[in-house]
Amino acid sequence: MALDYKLVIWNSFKKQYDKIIAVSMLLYIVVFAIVTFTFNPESSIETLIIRAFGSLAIVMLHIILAIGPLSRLNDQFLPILYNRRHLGVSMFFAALVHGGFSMFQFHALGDVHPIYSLFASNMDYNSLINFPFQVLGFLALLILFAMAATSHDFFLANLSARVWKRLHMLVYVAYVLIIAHVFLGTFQQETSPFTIGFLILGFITISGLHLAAAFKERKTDSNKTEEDEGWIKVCTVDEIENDRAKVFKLANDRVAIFKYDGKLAAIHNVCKHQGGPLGEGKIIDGCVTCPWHGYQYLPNNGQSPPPYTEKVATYQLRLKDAIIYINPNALEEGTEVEPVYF
Amino acid sequence: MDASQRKVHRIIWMSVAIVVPLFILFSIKDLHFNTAEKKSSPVETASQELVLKTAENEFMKTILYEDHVEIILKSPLKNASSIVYTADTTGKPLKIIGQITASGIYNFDIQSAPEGIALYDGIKQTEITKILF
Repeated sequence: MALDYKLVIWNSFKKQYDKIIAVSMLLYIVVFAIVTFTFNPESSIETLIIRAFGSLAIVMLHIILAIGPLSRLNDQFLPILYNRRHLGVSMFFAALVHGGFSMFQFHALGDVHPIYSLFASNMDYNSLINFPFQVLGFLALLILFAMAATSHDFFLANLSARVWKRLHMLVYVAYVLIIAHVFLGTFQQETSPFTIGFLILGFITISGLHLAAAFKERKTDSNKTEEDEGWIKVCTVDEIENDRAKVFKLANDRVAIFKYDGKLAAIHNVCKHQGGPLGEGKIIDGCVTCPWHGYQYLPNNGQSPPPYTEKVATYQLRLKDAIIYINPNALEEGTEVEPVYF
Repeated sequence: MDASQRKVHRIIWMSVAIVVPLFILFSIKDLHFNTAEKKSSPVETASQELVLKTAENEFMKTILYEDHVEIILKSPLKNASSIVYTADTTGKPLKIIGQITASGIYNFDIQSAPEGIALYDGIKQTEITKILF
């Protein structure tokens, strides 16, 4: 959380993660080169670079796509989510090296523009097996570029969290394009059951994790509600841990009811930064702290502590026989609500 | 994420989980995984089996045996992708039997004796060379 924009907001944790990313990428490239030159010593350096960085980008993309659902299924993965953006930008650079060298080797040495050559050198667009697979990789690279270029908080703040999130959900389109790029390209020529099986296993893992997380979320959203004079029954006080929250669905909104210092308070569950789940965070220094990037809000009014200006909606609570009831009508963002004491 | 974004996520992944496996199935159903590609000494092979035909050009020498064809690639090809096809009497590619990379000796299993062998660039979709028996 910062007041002004910096190119990269590093702290000791982020520096540590970034070192791990850089060293892992370097190690992968070195091992790939050693294996290639051991089994195929006449391989050219251009081909080595194309294959090493292409496969690296695919491995990284799988890790990136796994982090989101893993964090929703198990909060022990949340610290990795905190650094996912740097991993994404690093993956884009790996994909860019792959795409750049491929463009140079296959399309830059002719007498037509490389982009024209990319789209026109193979016009078999009606065939599945002979489809110009490089076009698919190029389109995926454009999406990854748009995502990397807008990954900074400056764009997040100016595009709005909703638009920014929709833009970055294009990573799923890029993922499908990349799968098609590999299956219609390399795998048509390198018919190794090992590499094909590896990517199929990766796809099953990623789609399985996303579906598991989606159905877990759906279960949370489908909790039945009981009404009492317009107030909705949530749970008993004992069901909420101290300094933690219970997430409850009201119409289309999720609400996080926090228990802290002998008090209860309810705020909207969606963080203003990147839409993180506030109810999965905890109270730190008296503030609700988003588990994704550490944005903070005061539980009694949903406002970020000064000088920050983010605000979320608040809700009225009522306690009757140790059972918590909530007024389903959200108050204006940042509205002060008297906490309920228990 | 808000409710609509969660719903969009769920719909996207349910669609992907259905469409992508179908796509993968159709894209690999005609691939030949069981073609054994192995390198061995030509002397060793020749001493054990009957040679049916041989042919040679500037790129390669091919030796046809009853159940496999041996290709001796004389020097590395410039093409990034070199797919080996059986060919008809005109040199037209018929069926993929494997691929070659560095110079050396390659052996590919075959079902029946082909009229020729064609090397094809899988990326540029162009013929590299062909050889007729």
